[in-house]
Amino acid sequence: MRASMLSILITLGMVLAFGQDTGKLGSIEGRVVNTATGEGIRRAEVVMRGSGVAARGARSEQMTRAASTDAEGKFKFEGVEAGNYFLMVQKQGFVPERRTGYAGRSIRVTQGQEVSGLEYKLQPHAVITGRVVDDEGEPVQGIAVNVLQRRFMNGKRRWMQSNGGSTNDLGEFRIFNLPPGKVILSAMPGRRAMAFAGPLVATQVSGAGAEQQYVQTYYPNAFDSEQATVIETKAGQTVSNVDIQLRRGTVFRISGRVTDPDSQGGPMRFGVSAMRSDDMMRGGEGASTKPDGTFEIRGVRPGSYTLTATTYDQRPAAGQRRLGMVKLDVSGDVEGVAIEIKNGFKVSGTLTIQSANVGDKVDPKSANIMFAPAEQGMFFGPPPRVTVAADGTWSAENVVPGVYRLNAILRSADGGFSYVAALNVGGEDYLGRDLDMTQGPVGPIRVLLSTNSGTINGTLDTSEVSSEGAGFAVAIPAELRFRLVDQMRAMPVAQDGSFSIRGLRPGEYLVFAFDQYQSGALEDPEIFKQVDQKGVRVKVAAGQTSTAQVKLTPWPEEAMGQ
Amino acid sequence: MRSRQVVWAVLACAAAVQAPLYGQVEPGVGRVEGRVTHSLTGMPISKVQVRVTGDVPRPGRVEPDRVSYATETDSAGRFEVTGLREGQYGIQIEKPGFQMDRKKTSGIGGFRLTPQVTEVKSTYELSPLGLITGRVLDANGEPAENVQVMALRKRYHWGRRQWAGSGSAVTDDRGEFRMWDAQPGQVILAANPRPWLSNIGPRIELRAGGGDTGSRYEITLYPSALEPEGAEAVEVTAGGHVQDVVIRMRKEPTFSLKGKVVDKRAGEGQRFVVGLRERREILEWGSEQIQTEEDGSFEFKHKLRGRYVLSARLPDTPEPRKGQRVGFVDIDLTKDIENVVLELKPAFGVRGTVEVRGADASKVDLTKFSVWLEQATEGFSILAPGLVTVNADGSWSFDDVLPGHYRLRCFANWMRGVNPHQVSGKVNGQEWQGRENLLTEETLGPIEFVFSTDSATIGGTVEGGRAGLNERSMAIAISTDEAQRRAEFWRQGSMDEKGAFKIDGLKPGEYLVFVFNDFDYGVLEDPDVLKRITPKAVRVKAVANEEARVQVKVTDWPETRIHP
Repeated sequence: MRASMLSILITLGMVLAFGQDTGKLGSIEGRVVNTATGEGIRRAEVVMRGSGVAARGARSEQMTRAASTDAEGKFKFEGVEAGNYFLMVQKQGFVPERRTGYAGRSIRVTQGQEVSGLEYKLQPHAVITGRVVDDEGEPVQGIAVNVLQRRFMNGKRRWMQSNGGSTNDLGEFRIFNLPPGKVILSAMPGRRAMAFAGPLVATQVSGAGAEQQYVQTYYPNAFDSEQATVIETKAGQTVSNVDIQLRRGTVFRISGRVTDPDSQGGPMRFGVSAMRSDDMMRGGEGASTKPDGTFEIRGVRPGSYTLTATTYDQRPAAGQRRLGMVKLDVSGDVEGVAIEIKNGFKVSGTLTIQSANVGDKVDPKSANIMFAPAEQGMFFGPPPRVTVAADGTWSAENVVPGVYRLNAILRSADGGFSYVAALNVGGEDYLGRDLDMTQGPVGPIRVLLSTNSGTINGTLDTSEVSSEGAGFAVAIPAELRFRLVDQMRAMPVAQDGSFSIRGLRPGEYLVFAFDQYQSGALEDPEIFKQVDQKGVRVKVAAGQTSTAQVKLTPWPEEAMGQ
Repeated sequence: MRSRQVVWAVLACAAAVQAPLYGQVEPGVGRVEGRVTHSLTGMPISKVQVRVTGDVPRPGRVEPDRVSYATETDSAGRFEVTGLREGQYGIQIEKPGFQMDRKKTSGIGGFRLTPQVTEVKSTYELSPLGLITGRVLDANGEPAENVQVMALRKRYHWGRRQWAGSGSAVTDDRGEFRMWDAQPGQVILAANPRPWLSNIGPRIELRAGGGDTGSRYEITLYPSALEPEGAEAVEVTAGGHVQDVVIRMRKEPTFSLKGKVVDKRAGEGQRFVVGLRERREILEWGSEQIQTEEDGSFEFKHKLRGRYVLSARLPDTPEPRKGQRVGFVDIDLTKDIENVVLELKPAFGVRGTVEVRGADASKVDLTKFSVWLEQATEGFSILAPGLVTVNADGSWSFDDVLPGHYRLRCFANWMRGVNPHQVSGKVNGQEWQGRENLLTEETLGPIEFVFSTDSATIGGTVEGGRAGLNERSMAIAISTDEAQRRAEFWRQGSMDEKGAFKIDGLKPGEYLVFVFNDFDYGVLEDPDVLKRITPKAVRVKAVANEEARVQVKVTDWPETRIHP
């Protein structure tokens, strides 16, 4: 929820480049309304971010102003410079009406313009209260309880943690600030809050190795999220007596040895963690190796795991993380797992920057080349650090084996509108493909970064749009493979219906304006199929600005994740 | 907690179950059993987590096997772990809402199993923590959610008052909190608005006419104070309940701080790292770090009134101190500040001498001495050089010391037959012992540590012998000389099996001698505590090369009072 807000704020930063002359100041006026009663909400906080760029010169400094609403729920910002702003509204005890996770919108103010009649809707929050008890019905203290909502990630629906709390001395919990909707709850023994760190262990010997201990339990007492009872919260209401009975489940051990070809016989100090690869929202277990490299991880639930052994290299020259990885399925005790520590390798290549205007020199050192794990949830430690030289050659030391996705941008304010025009690996076109470096480095990797990007300036027909505002404009490459390369960014539509999407790769796009948005949902082809006909086709040429007239598309109900 | 006492009596007495957490070791014949009871009621406590961890020697191996067992107490408060092999074991017992009553517990230090000793029995008492409930209100009197409320007890460190966490809770949407892990004793309650979590009212408010300055919520002490002096002390008792505590959050003005970093050695366009760190007594929110513009200018916004350390340094240098240059200045922020100039200064070498006087001076090996330079300037992440060993001729040196506040200490490692004490430690002729002082290239002068072998000894016995003592009992000698009041000058001696002790290596002078069954420097350093217990001490004059004899009674461990 917070992440989606953040990404919008970041993309907003890129829109703030409209320059206008200083002159008459404008104002922004509006009201915050309780959806349940239709009345204004007093003492709501309205935070305004953005900049009147003109007055501040080249340093496009972000400014923040805030105001409180009056008894009628009204607020007003005066002395507003022309520019683009983003207003966010919050009030304790309320949640945004829109399920995008925040109440806010983009506001464009022209010179001296008095923007008025803005309305922000907040609805009373929902509350869930209950208790966590053990298998004898006694309250358990200090247990973390999480509320999970269905969300999208890379086109897949997952139960994702939203709010949480922990039990008190009576085993009670109270989770608040929940939006209306369908949720499930889980209680996590061993992730106990505050002072009482350490696992809640109650092990039992029944035969060889098979042990029972309290495990993550979903309301009312299920092992798996699929068996959890879904709770429906309603605005302004409290769901009480949501009691979770912790379950003891069978847990197993994973034991084995970490070997390090570089160890030179010294003692081994590795941390070994077992993370669920079939359900990354579940926690994992871990252990440290003994000096001889052997390890044993206990309390492991059945499932598919990725075992990762990591360490910081103690040798003075290295100072880097080293790592070894093994995948395995657990349905009983697993013994003799061998994890070999692999040395990181060097990856190198060249970077060419194609500038919008011939003659413009962009310093390659101002570029950022990033390697991210291709699979969500894969963990390779800190990302490789890439250094780009003035002549455009670059290298990354100590890259650990794995499948990576490469991206590159320019760091300067202007450069935010660059795109990766070409990616060539060993003479082969790799745009939209992942780099498989599980067996070692690939390369040389040639990256062509272009600042010669296009822009779509659009307008949304606001006649049929409620005063709450339009929401989000999205441009999706028509060509399938670019959907993997260019991240989908939702740009806020201003109150006057205008929006601007910059930094686009030349080509054809489908442009939408949605009333709501959830990142990761359109990546699901099934969901995209529901809306793709509504997209307006726009051709974008290098260095050119295209225009688009769009109508509001309702965000598919299914894409809310619920 | 209360319902538990009913349940234990009803439950059948099932044997506690256990299993080793590590290692496929062949089971041994050893066992440990114990019983856990409530320190106030004497009733057994069930479902206490018990963890037994041991180092078990394995034939043919240098490193012992580390084994760990976990179990919990049954309804009669009993636990048992069997199949243990010979070795040294530690035991950890834990129950949310309780703490170990150290005075009434046996076997807390662990146990050893040998071929002769295969069975260990121990008893533990758990003492309930306190409960504090109440509400937090914002400046408008409305409930404030997601505010962290912390119980803090007073402690002293390096002569400075500090506050240590002693329980914590977070308010819910009704502004209510329920802190069920408060440690007994006097505490103050601090409500921390945690700006990244809380949304009580506007965090930043506009002043008339716009701009970025305004006000925001400040850490507030119960009932509505900013300083500990204005806070009301809350008395937490074991198993007790303090109710209806209402904290009203304070909203305070914020200011901005602008300035410039000047570095004569840097080239054009050099950016610097500037840090602004709070020097608040209660719950430091840490520091904010920013990068300067290319002209060295910087600005911090939305900072609350208070004391800060403003520091500047070069961005990362290959080694932490070599080639680095720093500047710092204390800031008292009470209004918007502009034009702060920070000049960067390079690292420099610090050297000095150690001299030993006295009858046995010739027996002393100067290489047994170490000098410790400890950083006392807040706001720097660059570590001080640390420890050096003194050369045979008494000289010592540190390379690459950055300007800053430091504590400088010299101490002798154990030497056979001699026990020298420190006479003085001077920088530029000025006494540095027990102080934090500014060290810069300009203020640097000769640093001279002087020791003497003509030390005094205090030997004594405890009234009643060993009977009234436990494994943590300690004798301590505190000088009556005001200049030597700080904990670093205190000397302690442990008890032998007859309840006798010896404290040696003392500087001749008058001392207060105490024996305690529990010990915490952070409490004893409190001037109020020291004043209160002074009448209970035995006063003794310690003379060079002699042993003064004393008989001492055990002094009850003093309670800390928030407002003496």
